[in-house]
Formats: sequence, C-alpha cells, structure tokens
Amino acid sequence: MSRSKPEPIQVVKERRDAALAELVARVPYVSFMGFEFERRGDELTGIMPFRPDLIGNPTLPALHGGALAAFLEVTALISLSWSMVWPRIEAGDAGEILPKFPKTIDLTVDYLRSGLPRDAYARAEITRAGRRYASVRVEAWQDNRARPTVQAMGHFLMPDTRPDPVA
Amino acid sequence: MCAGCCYVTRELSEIGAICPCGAAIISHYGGQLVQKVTIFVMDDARTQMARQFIEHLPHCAALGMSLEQIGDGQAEILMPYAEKLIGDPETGVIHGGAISALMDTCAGAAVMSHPRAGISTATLDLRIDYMRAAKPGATITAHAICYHVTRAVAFVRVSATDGASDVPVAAATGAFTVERGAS
Repeated sequence: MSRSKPEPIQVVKERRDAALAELVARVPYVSFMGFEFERRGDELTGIMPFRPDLIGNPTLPALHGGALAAFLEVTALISLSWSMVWPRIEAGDAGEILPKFPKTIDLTVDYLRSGLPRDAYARAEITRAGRRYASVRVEAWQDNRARPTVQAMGHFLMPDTRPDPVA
Repeated sequence: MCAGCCYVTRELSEIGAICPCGAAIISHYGGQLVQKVTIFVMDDARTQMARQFIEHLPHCAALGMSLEQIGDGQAEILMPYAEKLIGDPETGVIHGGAISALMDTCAGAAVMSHPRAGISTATLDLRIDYMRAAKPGATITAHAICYHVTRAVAFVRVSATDGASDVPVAAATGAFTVERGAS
C-alpha cells in the first residue's frame, strides 16, 4: 500500500496563512481597528494592539468598552468563518473558498476588569456550530491569561452554504 | 409597551400617549409601540460640557460620534456613516462592533446624566440584539434611557436607528456601575 507523499510543511503553512490573511483583510472595520490574528494549527488568537484612540476613559486610563466588545465580536466572527474554511483549505481547495461572514444575532458582553492601556488578546470557543445557528463563547485577556478582561457569549446566523436550488 | 423604556401599561396603547420616561407613542409595528422621544434637555452650558467631554474621548472621536442631546438619564448620540466602519464589503453595511461601541457610549452617557448616578461609570454588562442590517450611507442614532439606579448599579436600555425604518437596527440592555465620590 502506498501513501501519497505529504506536502512540504512550508506549502501547507503558506496556504493556511494566505487564507487567514485574506479573510481578515476583507473587512474595512477590522483594518481600521488594527485587529490582527495569529494562527497555531487551526487555533486563532485575536490581537488588539494598543492605540491611544482605543481609550474610552482618559482618567484611569482604560480601553473603551465598545472597542473591547467590537474586538470580541470580530474574534468570534473570524473564528466562525475560519472553522468553515478550514476543512476546505485542508482538502487543498484552491481559488475562491471564502464564504460570506456569519451575522451576529446577539452578543452579551461581561466586563470583568477595566481594560488596561496595553495590547489585548482573545480566543473564541465555538460551543455549537449548527447549519443555521452557532453559539460562541469568547474571552479576552491582557497581561495575565488567568485574569480575563472581558468575556462574551454570542449567537450567530450562519451563511447559507448549500448550492443554489435548482429552479 | 413603550419601545423606549419597555414600560408596560394599557394607557400606552394609544397614539399620542406619553410614557413616564418622556416618550410619546407615535406609531405601531408588530404589536409593539414606537415612540418619538422628547428628551428633557439640560441647560445649554451643561449639555455643552457633556458634549465636549464625550466627543473628546479618544475612541468616540475615532468613530466620529457626536452628542445630540443629554439630560435626566437620557442621551442621544449620532455616528455618521464612514467607509472605515464597513463590516460587509459586499453591501457596505456598518460593522456590528461599531454599533456596539456607539450604544455603549450612549448608555454610559445616559447613566452619567442621571440625577441619582455618580460622577463616573463603567459598563458591567451589555447585551446587544442585532435586529437588521443598517442602511449603507445612513447616520446611526443611538438613544439611551437610564431607567433605574440603585446604590451600586444603573440599568439602561439603548436602541439604535438609521431612519430607514421604525424597527431599530439594534437594541441593547446594560448594567453600569454607580461610582460615588469619597463621602
């Protein structure tokens, strides 16, 4: 029995990273906010590099709650989209594989600590991914991973990925 | 039910009725009542100060927010459409995150303008429901009502509209801290 020769690791990595970069670059608001995504295998970590224009309370100072909420929502959306494209990237699917983004139905944000004027990191956990609806839990932290700054739970409407119905 | 503060009473089922929150019912949709809100306006000097304060918060300035009205536990903040806020490049619809930031700011402003709330506030919790996509090109208006304040917590409802429909783009409920100065 012969197995096909595995692809060189560099080719695999480049394909994955190019797909992720394309996914993130599509959204003007994500570029405007400066959000970045790092990948380890299929796991994504969102990064919100600190910028003075993310401040909402200059006295403390603290990050704007809305900026943190946006960061969690974007991390959840990118992670969901990523989970949809991942199997296709792994199947070696080239070309146009990026689906439409899911739509946020609701997001409940729990502010645990005030946001420090430093970089923030976030990871999303897809607790349920159905064909129509998905539930996602997402958490952001700063200096200390064990002391999250903010967490959120959201529901999302998944894009229709079925082929067009035959007329 | 009053769509502004969710106060429920039979008397509010008529057009023209005034809710205790100051809103006047102007139309009906889907069994719920839509109201035109008349805000108790603070005197010009205080409104001007609040406007200066909010419009100079770095993140609010970055998103282009402007304070329209504030006073007595209510606030209205506008966010004009901008390309940098787009979340869906195919349709040009604004990203939900920008609307969250607008609603969070507006809710915080409403808390700070409440006569029984403290000098400063922070968000404890905010739940946002996205009802529909905002019309591309339209300015988003957020209106917040701080409807109850305890010693430690202020409760707020916020809605965001784009002027294209009576149905808000998004609605949110939040709990905020009540910060007391040293007593």
